[in-house]
Amino acid sequence: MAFYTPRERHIADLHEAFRTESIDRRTFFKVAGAAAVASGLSHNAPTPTLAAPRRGLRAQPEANALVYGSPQDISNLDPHTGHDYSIAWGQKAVYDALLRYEGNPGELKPLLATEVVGSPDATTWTIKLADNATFHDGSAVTAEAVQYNFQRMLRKNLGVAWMFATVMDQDSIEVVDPTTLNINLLKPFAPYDAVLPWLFVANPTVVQEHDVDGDEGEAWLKENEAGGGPYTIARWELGSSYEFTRYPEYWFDPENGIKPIDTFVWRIIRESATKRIAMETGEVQYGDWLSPEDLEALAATGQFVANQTPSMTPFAIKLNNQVGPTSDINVRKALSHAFDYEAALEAVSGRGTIMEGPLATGLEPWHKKDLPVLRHDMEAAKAALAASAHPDGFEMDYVYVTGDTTEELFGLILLEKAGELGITVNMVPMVWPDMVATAVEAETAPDSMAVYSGSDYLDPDNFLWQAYHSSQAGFWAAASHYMNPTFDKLLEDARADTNQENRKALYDEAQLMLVNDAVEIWVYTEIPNEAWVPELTDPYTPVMGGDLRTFGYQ
Amino acid sequence: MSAEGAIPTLVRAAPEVSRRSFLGLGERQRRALRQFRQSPLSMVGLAIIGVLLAIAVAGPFFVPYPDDVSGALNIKERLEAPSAQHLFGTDQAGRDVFTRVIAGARVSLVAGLVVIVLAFTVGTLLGAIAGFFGGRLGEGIMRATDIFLTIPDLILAMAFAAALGPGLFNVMIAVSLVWWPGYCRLARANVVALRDSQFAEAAQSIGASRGRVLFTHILPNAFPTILVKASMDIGFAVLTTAALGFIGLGTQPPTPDWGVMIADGRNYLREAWWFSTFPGIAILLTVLAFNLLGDGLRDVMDPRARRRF
Amino acid sequence: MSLATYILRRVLLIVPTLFGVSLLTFALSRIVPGDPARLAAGAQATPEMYEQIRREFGLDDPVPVQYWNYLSGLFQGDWGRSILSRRPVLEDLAVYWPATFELVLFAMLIAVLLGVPLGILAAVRADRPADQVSRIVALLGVSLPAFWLAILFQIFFGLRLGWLPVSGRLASLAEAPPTLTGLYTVDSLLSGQWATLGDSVRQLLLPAITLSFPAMATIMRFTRATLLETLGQDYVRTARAKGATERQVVTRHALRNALIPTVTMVGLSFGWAMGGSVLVETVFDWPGLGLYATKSALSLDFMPIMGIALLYGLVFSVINILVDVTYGALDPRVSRA
Repeated sequence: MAFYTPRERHIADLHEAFRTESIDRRTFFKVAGAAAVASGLSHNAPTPTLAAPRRGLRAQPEANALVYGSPQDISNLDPHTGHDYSIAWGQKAVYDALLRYEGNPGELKPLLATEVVGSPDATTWTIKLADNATFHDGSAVTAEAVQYNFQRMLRKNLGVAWMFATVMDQDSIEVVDPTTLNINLLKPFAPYDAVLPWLFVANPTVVQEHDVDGDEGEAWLKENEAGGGPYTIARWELGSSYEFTRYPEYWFDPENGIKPIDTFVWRIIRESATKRIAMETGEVQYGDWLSPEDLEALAATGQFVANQTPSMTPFAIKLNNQVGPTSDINVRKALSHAFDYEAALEAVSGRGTIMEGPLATGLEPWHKKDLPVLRHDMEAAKAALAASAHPDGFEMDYVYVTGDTTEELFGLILLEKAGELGITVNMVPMVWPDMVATAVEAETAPDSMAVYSGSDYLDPDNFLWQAYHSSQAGFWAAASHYMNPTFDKLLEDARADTNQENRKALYDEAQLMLVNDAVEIWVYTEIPNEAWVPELTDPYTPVMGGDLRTFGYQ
Repeated sequence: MSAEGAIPTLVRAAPEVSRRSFLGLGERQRRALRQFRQSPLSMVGLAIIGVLLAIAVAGPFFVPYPDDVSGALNIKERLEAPSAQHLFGTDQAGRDVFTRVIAGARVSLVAGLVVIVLAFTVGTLLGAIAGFFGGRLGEGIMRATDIFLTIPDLILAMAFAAALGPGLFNVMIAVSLVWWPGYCRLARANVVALRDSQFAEAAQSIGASRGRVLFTHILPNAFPTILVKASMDIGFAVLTTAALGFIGLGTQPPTPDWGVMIADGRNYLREAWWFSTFPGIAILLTVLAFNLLGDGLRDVMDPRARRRF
Repeated sequence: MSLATYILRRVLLIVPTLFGVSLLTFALSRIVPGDPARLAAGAQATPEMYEQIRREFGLDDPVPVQYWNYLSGLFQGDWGRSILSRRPVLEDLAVYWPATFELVLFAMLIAVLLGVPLGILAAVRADRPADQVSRIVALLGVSLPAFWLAILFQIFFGLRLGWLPVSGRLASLAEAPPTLTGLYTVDSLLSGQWATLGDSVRQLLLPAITLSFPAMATIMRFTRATLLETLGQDYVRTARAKGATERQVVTRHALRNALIPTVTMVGLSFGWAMGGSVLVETVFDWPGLGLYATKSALSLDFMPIMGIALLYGLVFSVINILVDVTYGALDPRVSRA
């Protein structure tokens, strides 16, 4: 179906028009042609800085260039307002943060900060800066610059701000000397150092130069950089590909003996099938979000290495703990017993680890072993349901992201197994904003909802606070609306204590509490379906977004 | 691709005016039927549609794995190649593709039919009103169609479907909302041509009310060309709902839907070609069949347009 | 009525249509149950962050006020901002539209260059096997799901034969042309970057061929039909009677007249191809309006959708006028009068 011209009406007029005015037909066509070209709207996007002419890559990677294929756009490179997995790749390339994660599982390492020391009550933090750090214009990274970045981030109150905003305000940052800062937190926050890799430091002078109507460079920084990181932007083709080139005078040496990549290209390729072809033809050297089948096929050729490291990202089926049948603990237990975890793992071709409780098993040393987790057991499920207020079953919704085949399969597994108990599961695909919106109120939050949580900092606080602390209820990661003052107290105490032993004990108790309450169905942590050429040293990190400082060609 | 792909836009030839309702079989109609039978491709189209309808009605009762329609899974047997047990192989959840293609016929045909019936009814009614009564109301209706028709159909349908939320029902509503103006224009053009014809004037002169003239004299004569368009559009409606399914706005699982099956299977095309190929063939056949039928119908109902396609 | 008056009237008629388009899409954006502000505020947004976004995008104002603000903004070059990318919609359109325009233009070029000659062939061989084959091929052309065909093309031409790239507008490390028109082929041609020109044409081929299929099928069958019709006209019969060869009859007498209605069909196909580009752009990662629309729709980000609808409305209206005027300029019955 498409268009009809409103021709019946116009054609008569037209004939009339031509009758009264003769037109030199040749001239007419010239004009018509020009108009057609002109409608191709020239655009005022910045003319990309052109590197020396190069031929396109075809058979093998050009010397020391890496093309990364991903379905996700780098939609906003701003160091403070942009925050997701792909943005993080770009931010880490062009900006330096105070600290960085390296290795697997990620370990905190110095970057702009050479030393971060917290007071025993976790409220005052002293940050020592490297004295040789510079921005791309050659100016030094000073304590004042860092202070400005903290404040801009808090003023913008977007992106990464949620990690800081509850414990800091504009006055929390105190400049002691050009390389020392004191941070006075409003509330104790023991994992404060763990979130410092998310404070990217931009050059205040450059940011101010691009201020438009007091936006502190926000419009400009979406696709330009004002950093001091190892890369600068060579080309920015919106929605298509982003090219970064090595900044030759980069000040920092990670001392890992790796020769850094010269040119990094982030290329948006949506379909796994397309990406696989691009990888097979040598156009892409590193691809993510591949289907398990494509990943296996690529690895089988020997031309690619498949990632084998699990992420720390939990996938859970959130159950509404406040409203509806799932507010009944026995119903939640029945569902947890009914779900077939092995089948779920098989549905993702075994690429993952079944979760034992709310934390990824790989989150050492925090994950508590020997938790009494509920396993697939239909007899136990039946018994639990019989003990509930709904012994004869009921109807419930399973909400998931439309088009996400993995989440759909997990829903179908729940549908099949819960069906055996007499529970009818309605599959409800939604676009993500709808899911986020329905999760807000306990009354509207779905009975069950598929959620992959993020992993921003490798501390149990990240996973437990965002998903189960009652202050978070209603945010999508906390769609289960878990409310438990005793539990809240445990997390708050753990935030106020820098002693790792004490924290471990508190988090152990917290995990046990969640499992006993069968808050949700913890399914698995995935092994991300990424593959790269074997010449590359292992680039994978469980923290969101890769870091080009940590890998390169052998 | 759009429904108009195979139909000329300009209604050049108004259908021949006949006092007889198009459903009654006069001499001309009998001749037409003969003509239709002699067109081999049209008969092929009709035969395919017959089979599809039979499958849609009875298919679900005869499929080898009826549980695979209602949500049973068999993850251990995922992506198995076609064999004696699984004629079309299995999908990513180990379900029988043959079963789901058969069961999907009902969903897809219902979707196609509902979309066309809704668009046809609304469009023809509004178009007839616009054409017959004209005036401000008519002008208003036609301006509204202008608005809908200047936005590419798929983009508008996508926006509607996303706003309403995914799911087959919403997709059908979205596509109908986008397609009615096509019928509206066609109906208006036909009604305008017939309004001033002698027999309409004659009917009015013997005292028939305007409404009566419209519904008993003009509309039945305007129907043939609109029906030709409708018969072709059913196939395109199936294709469009499939396209929306591909984008991620399709049927609610586990209900089988060809479009969603193609979409799900596209990433397995190289390891498990059967998964998306068989539903793809099913869609292809459906669209083809309705096109052939429409072709044949046009030859019969609109003789002056014959040989055009 | 003079031609100028005619064109002016048609151009003025675009205004109420676009007004209607804006009203329609705005109304659509208000029936959305989801909440883009919450999404834009980010994963872990505090209630204050969320409120800030709502204020920033004027979502707190009464609905008529929001529409009025939008409408008055349109005239000042402010087409709103995407709530997700936070970029001005007009800037996004300026980046994405040339990509779609280039793709559709190439697709139509292919459709016309193949469709018209094949249509002539089918007409000359009417009702013979060649014609029947072309009929089947045409039906396949409009019946095949474009996204499915696209994947098959990628596997065959991209991988098995290795002839053509399967994704994007330029190879990863190819040199980008300067931005003049936004059409990479034109820009690289104008600036004499031959390597880039070759690269952008190679990148264009697969998506353009895929997109051209339905249009080509339609144009082919339409050409055949109109040519057959003209071949039956009196003056063609006269030419035959005068002893002209069949070849002369077709090329000298019938073809020109037969092709006039095809112009209309090409204009219409252009519109369809703009819609069809949604699917093709998704599979080939062509960074155009179709992809932008899909992404925005799935995120319920309606400011871009409203802008896209307006732009398409404008483009399509202009194409309509061009087609009608061209038709008039070509039609001998008009110019002879």
